[in-house]
Amino acid sequence: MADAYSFATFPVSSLNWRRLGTVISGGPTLSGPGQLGKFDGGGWWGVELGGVVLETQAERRAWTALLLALDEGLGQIEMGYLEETPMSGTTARFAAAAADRATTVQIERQSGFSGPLQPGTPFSVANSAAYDRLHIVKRVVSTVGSVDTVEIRVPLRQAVALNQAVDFNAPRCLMRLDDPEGEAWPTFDGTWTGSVPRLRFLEVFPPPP
Amino acid sequence: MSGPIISEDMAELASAGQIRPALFLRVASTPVIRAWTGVSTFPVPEDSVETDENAVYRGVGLITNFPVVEALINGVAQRMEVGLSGVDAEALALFQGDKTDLIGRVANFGMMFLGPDEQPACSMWWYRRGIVDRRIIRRRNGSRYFGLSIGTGRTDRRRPHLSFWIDQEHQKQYPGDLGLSRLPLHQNRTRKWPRWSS
Repeated sequence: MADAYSFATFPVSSLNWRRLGTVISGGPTLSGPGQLGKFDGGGWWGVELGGVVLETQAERRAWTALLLALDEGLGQIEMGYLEETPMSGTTARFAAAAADRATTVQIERQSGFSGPLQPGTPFSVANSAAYDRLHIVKRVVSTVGSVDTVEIRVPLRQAVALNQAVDFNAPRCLMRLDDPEGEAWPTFDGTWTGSVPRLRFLEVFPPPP
Repeated sequence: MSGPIISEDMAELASAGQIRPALFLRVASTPVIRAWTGVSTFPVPEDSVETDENAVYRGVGLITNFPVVEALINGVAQRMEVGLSGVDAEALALFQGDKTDLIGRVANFGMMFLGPDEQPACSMWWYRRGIVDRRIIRRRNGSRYFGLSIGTGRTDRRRPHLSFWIDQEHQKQYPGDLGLSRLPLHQNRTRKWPRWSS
């Protein structure tokens, strides 16, 4: 399992999660707005962190070690999807098996939930063979008792089994560094305070271990 | 090619300006190369081209120069170079098999439309078939580029990169066809066209 990014050790001043994709436009036409083609099959996750400040030598060294482990994108790291008020103490599982790339799933709320799932709720699928994958509820199709049928994005990255655990407490995603310009390496001022203005990560798809 | 290319539902979506094409490449090498233009994996059911009922296509992101949908007019042959730009190590490993095993293999291009729920909205349409005749690997500014040159026939006046007039190459394209198996018997011999006396 890859190490997780520690927001406690390296706090950030800005955080931007987004779903990335490949959309190609044919341009405007005389008779209408033209056509868009979406080629990504559901997209992938990207996150941009901003404003990391390194004030002590211990922090600077830890950051350097982190960058070496990330290996210009060849290494992997688990990025947590942070919220203002994260869920805690919840347990949930899939109420039915779902195929690879499914976008409609059934989730049973076992404990700790105050009500049905809401659109925009993030969760990750804990599968040690296929790493942690982040998904977000797009809309709730129906609710029967404690089972919600929801539409999710991005599509499932692997098939899931009946009763497989779903993690709403600490949703996260396996990612790699995307830093072609070398901006992750800090710039130091005269007081040896290092600053990293921007740091980007992209969802990664390694083969199962 | 006969029959509808896409269903009426997909034609309606396409006319509304919302299409979600998923493009697929299958090369019948050993092991089989299966790639598609999205991310993550894509299970593809068994059909006339895909012979494995558990086939899973690997997402390799944007494939450059994917052949557009064109008909061969008057039998004119075409050549295309399919490229993967900025590939990561895992994707590149797909194509870095034994070079001799890639050359001469059948390559199929397929397409299907996904619906608004990102699920297949029609069956796979294998719209183009060709033969791999060259493998290309380049590195530009630290980025890897991998390409396959695929021809649908003899495409230039010069001698083509690949000829099929030996049994081993012919077997790659048509396994089990013994049409050229006795060709070695004709090596280094001059056959004269018979002259019939009147």
